[in-house]
Amino acid sequence: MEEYLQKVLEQIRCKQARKMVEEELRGHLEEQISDNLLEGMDRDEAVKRAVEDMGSPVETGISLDALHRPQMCWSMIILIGFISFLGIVIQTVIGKSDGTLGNSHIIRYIFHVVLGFGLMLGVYRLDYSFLGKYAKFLAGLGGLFLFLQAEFFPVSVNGANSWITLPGIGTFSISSMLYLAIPLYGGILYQYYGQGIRGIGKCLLWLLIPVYLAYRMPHLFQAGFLFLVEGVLLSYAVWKGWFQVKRGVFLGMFWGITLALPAGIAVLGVKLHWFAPYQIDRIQYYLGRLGHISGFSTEVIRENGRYDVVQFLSASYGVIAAVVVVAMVLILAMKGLHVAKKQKNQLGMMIGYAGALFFLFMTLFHIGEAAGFFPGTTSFLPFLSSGGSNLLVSYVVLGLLLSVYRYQNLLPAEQKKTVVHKRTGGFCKS
Amino acid sequence: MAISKTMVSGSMTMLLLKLLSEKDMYGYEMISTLRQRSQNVFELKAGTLYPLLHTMEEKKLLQSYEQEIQGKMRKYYSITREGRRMLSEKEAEWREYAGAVTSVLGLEG
Repeated sequence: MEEYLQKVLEQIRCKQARKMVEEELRGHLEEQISDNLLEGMDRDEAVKRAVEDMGSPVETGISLDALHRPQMCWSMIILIGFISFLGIVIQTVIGKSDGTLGNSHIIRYIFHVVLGFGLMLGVYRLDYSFLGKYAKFLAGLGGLFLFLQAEFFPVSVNGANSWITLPGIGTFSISSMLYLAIPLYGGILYQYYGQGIRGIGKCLLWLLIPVYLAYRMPHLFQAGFLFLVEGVLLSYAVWKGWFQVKRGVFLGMFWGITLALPAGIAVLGVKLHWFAPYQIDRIQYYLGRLGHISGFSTEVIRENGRYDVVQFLSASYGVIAAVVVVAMVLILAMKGLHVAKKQKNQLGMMIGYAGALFFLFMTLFHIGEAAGFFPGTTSFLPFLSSGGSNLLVSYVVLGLLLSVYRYQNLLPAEQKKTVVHKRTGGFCKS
Repeated sequence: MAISKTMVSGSMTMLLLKLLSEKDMYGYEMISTLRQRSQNVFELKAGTLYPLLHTMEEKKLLQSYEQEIQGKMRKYYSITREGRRMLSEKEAEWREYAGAVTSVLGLEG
């Protein structure tokens, strides 16, 4: 039997596929052998007959090898290649238009694009299923590292202490790294699959950790963004029945509190001076003009040493240019949603949605900010804005999406789990 | 009587879809059921079955999931909506084909 299996597996090049095929064929052989023994054959005869009934191992292996190859999402690779090239062109134009930025701005941007592309391809080759096993560990370790770094070894850049120095590379934004909490959260949700109301409670705690870290930096936009995206992922998991609770009740409570709480905190924060004076001014200013769309700017504005890509394009080349560029990023995000939806593996689906929603929501917030609908935030246009840290994180997240696509035929759907609750209460299903 | 391989392979997709349209099954169960219901005419080898099942899954005619049975993990297959649609098509094709052959051979229907 082992010889038969080895001959089959030798024909299959993909490691993940070999494991899957071996399990299935071994199970089949064991059942056949078992039946043969019941028919009165001795062990050796039973095994020999079972193996003969399987057919040619080489032919079987070759057929399975042809079917089970890692997939490359070429459309996404081509799109990101084009967007990356476009980003270099845009930042080069920006760099040339402002003499104070100099060539170093362009060179630094190209360096980050090349490094990011390399990271993306590296992550793409990883088997993302490690997130299903180690998401909590990685999130805990990462969160602790970021917390200690920000608290005890902060590096100040432009007045913000949310940076770290990576030897040989330079400074890197801690807040950018926090965005990696989103795909990690997809893995955490998966780890609590089927654990009912307790699982949801733990998922809520894990949701709040990066939100709290962002709040402490302080990056209120990022805290809100993380809460929103992770909240949507949690809601989706609840909706899909991962936790076997009454969906309507939980979702109503969660989003009801979510919408009422920030409003309450904002009002109390202003009245009781919980926020810094500049934050209070901002809240009061923007609450006064919430929903007012000023449209994309007609003048090029430099803020904190940077130009916003959407504003620069609309001011320099018209709104259509800005819309076309933003549309490409949105297409990438929609493609990511499509990849996620196709996954039969639940972990792959959740990681896919995490990545796609990160791109989609960040782009929409950035458009809203550029159009004056939202207050000034730390949002960015994925793959096109100039911040190196955000660029690298965007490529890593895209690498995860590509990894999900790569292994879509190789990682099986999960077993249908039935969850037995020892006690029911509240909104648990009976 | 041994049946020509060409005749068998063309209809195997339809037969597997038919089995799965009745209930979810795992590979070994499909081979046993097929053998029993065809009175041993169809003796499908596992080395033929699994590539075919995986192909059908890739074409979204089937989906698979794993389930623990008596301490062992088993991979079950279930038919999809697309699979049911394909089955209807193939059954219609088969009836037309079988009717035509019967008619030409002058056999009683």
